Amino acid sequence: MVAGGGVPPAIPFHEILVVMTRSARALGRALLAVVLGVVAVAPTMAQDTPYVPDEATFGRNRDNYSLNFCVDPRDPAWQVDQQIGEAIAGALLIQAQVTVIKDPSTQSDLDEMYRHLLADCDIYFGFKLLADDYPDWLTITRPYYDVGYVMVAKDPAYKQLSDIPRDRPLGPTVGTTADFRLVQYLDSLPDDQRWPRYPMGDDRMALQSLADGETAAALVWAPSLAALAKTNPAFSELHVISSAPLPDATIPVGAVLLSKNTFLRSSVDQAIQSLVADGTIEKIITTNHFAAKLPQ
Amino acid sequence: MNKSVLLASSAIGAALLMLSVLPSMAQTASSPLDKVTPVTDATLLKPSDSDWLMWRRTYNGWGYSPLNQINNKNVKDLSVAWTWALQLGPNETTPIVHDGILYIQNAGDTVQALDGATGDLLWQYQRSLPQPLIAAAGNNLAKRNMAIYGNALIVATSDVHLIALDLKTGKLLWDKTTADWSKGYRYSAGPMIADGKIIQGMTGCGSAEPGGCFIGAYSPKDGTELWRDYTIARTGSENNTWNGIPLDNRYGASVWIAGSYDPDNKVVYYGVAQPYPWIAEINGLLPASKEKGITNNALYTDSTLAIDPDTGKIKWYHQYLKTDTWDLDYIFERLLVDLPVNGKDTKQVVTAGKLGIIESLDRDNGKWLWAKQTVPQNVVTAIDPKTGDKTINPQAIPHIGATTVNCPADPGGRGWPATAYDPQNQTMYLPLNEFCSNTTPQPLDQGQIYTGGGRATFARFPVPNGDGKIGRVDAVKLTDQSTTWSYRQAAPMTSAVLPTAGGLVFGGDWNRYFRAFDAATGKVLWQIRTSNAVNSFPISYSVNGKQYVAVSVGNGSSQTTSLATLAPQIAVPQTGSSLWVFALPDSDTAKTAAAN
Repeated sequence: MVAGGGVPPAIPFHEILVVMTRSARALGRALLAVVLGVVAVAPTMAQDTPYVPDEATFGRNRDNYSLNFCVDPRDPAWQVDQQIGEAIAGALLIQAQVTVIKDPSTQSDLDEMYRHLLADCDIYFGFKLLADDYPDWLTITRPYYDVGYVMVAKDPAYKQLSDIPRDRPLGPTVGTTADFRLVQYLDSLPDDQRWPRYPMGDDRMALQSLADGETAAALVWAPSLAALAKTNPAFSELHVISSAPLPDATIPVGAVLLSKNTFLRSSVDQAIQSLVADGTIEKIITTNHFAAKLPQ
Repeated sequence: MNKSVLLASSAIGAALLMLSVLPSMAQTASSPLDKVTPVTDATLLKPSDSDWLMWRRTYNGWGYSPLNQINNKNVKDLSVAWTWALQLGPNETTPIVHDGILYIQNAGDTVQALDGATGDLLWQYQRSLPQPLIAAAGNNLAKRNMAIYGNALIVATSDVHLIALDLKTGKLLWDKTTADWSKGYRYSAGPMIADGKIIQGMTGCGSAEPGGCFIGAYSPKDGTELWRDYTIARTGSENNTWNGIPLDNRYGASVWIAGSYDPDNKVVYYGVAQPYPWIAEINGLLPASKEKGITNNALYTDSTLAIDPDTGKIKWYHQYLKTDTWDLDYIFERLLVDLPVNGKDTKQVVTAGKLGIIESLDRDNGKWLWAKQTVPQNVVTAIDPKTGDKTINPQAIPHIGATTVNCPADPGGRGWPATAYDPQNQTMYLPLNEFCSNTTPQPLDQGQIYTGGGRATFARFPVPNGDGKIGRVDAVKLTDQSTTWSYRQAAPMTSAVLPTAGGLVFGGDWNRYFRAFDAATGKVLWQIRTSNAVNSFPISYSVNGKQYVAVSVGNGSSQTTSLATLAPQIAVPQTGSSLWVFALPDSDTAKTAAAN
């Protein structure tokens, strides 16, 4: 290792890791699995749930004869989700107790969910079924609908992604599942074939940049587009284009609850299944003119 | 007005008068608050040995106490003088001590004045915070330091206000909103006073705060903003270091640790954190643009900024880590030391980032001087001996759809618990942790509003082929960057270190131990098992000639909950935050006084 005055020789371990190629990493993963196996049998004293200092004060579920669920008005689909929650409660022959979360924060950390699930509700609607993307203390129900991300353009000449000149920037909402697919697609292209990518803080910013002409296309959550277009006339002039060859970014949506609530999860899953089968979910989607499909 | 009304109003008036007088009568009778004197610029420049007036005690950021009543000969007799229960939640706090009064900011912005000798409560201020902030808890409610100036305690609050509290009464003197907490702006560190101004860094500047964070200067009279430096470059050639991304699509560059100040040169030194979201492929810094004149270095992230406190002008900057894609901040304390480099006396600014690499700059001009590695790391493969430029191991760079290994990882080979400098032996002490991580970028869109927050999964594990020990304290002599000693243990180190003129270095860990090390050898001379994780900044002060060492303990900071995954065998209470204060028995105190 080359370094400044006073820097010692390379640390041997560092050299080991430098030569750790991706193929060799499989061996590393195997070793890690052994390490994790050891950890798993050790006393589980580590903090595996978010830190809530007054956790002991919340106690157990207050009422076994109601479905206490949360929805969040910051989620554009919250009213549809509320109706689905009420339908699930009806299918379970229990009362729906709805808590509408009132939080002016633009965004919240997933850890904050833990407190809501201790203090406010047993189940929280409006979460995407993403593989390996939830902490161990959370579990997700089976999906009650599928909905996705859409690529949106302002220029009527753009019908699909390939219509957009390569020097015109794309404005995806940063870090979404669809954005990840876009990043991977752009990475696969030769340098001179890549569109510039401007990461947008949220769907509103993405659509505003598009409306202002700063970007040529936005990549946003379809329910956001529908909700924002109702309040901003400039957004209603935007149109959805084909994002091909990007893979379809339709995502199943369900509800989250604490992993330990296995009985509730099982009951809700059965209720969702029956509500999909008897057409209730479809009716809610249709009545609300909501851009979702029944779960596949 | 009839007579009865007059009589009644006179009686009520007399009663109110008595009520208003009573508290002050009580104070005039016996309150130690009466002795509290205003804190001037001169006081801050040369504080009494008894006091601890700012985050790292002195402007040079050393975190060193010149008190020596407690020393390596008698520390074995150190015992609990008093304790004080703190509010629930992480208390990463640094008390301020002035004229025998210990001021402490609890989690959730309860500020208290305690008698430094007895622990008696003298006054308390309780901030009324918005419920969502209280519910979010965690680091949202923790603050690492306050400032003191004039007759006021200057406090940064969880709802992103700067407030001034009267030193003697706790009365709110002024209250200034500096940003909108609902958009994610936060304070986790508090202010410093420099050149008669309050200087305060802003943090939390994620995707809801386009354009990133800033450092501001505010009037101590009423909190009026005097200048603001944005920490994401937006002009000049530095503006072209964001991979062609427009300003509104750049995020991060938080300033979540207070700075240092060189009063001779009138320069404030602040660190700046990394870009957000952490992973470069997500934040748009990768793949790198091929456009001429465009880089993806992302200034001023992971840099030192040298700032004129009068105008806010950035005199120079140095970036330690370009295109940070690991959450490996270079945000922490800046130690200002005057020591020879290659035989020439040099004014240096020394810091270590999460990589655990100590680096020194010439603080007159920002010229890079030297580096010294501490914990095992695999991110940097080489450092240019002239410029400090780092060669990055491409295999340690996270990619969407892959899992990569980086050592160390979030929360760092060193985290916010501060290093310190002992001028008696020209030695820097560092609380460190050794570990690696399997890092996997994760999407942010689990719920439309709720995100994973971490932007990546860090599956942390001990260093391969190591002995499994995580925690470590190193002593590094800054004259030649040699390691004098290195103390290692299984439990992660979770507190700052405190060197004293008594030849001691205090520090604490996740396993609730608070220890005194021999500054020369690293030998543990004293230890006590406290009630919770030692996760704060220990200080020392004296009242009426008696030296005390104080440290708060408590669970819940994001640093401890992250490090806890490396030590699953250690159980730490969820609740029970408290302040512990130690002193020698009076017999030892008398002996030391006689010897001095």
